[in-house]
Amino acid sequence: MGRLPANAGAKAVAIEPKQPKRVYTAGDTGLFRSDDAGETWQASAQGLPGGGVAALALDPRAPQTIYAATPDGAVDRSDDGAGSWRRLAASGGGG
Amino acid sequence: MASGLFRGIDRSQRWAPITIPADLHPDKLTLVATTAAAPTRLYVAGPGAGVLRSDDRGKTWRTNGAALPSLDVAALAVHTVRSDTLYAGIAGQGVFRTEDGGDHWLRMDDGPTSRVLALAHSPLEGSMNTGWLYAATPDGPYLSMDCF
Repeated sequence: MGRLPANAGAKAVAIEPKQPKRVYTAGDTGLFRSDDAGETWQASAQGLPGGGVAALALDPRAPQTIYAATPDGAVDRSDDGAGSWRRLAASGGGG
Repeated sequence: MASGLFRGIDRSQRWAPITIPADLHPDKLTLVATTAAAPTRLYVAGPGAGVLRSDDRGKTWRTNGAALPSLDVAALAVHTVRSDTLYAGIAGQGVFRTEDGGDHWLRMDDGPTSRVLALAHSPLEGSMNTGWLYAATPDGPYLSMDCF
């Protein structure tokens, strides 16, 4: 754990609502998790493809599930609190 | 990659398009916010779009950012438990709050000195009001009580 890297600009931030000391932030340099409301941060981008993150969202019913959108429009999902990631199908395919 | 608003189906294995107002260019939509307190409600926003609200999962929309000083909404967040309380960061104007679902907005403050790119509300204890606001900026995340 530690401070955010000096160049870790944030483009997105998300809070775990039932455990609000857990905060995620992300940007061009990857994704970081804090378990102390932002005092210290841990890189959590293992398995997350490079290229940065443009937006973050947590599933309110299952906050271990996190969605990260990339600047080029792809979406990655983690089901274990940002421990591992997998890429979802592209949008626009209809349903 | 199509542009517009989409809803994830089957845990987001598939995506279904959501209709947005005809006079709103989909490229202007860069922000979407939902609230567990009112699951059928959607807020969307973006630079040049203002804030729009749907109470029926995106079937119908109404513009409710008219009281904002600008349509250039750069960041948007819903209060953790109050579905009518919404926060909007306006480029160069500061952070604004509505407590009636977007009909009326009040300016809270300038926000961080760095550009606000995203906002998130937190129910973390210790606030003088109802919680805290995190702001994502190029200088990293900032934290402020949700009353300022």
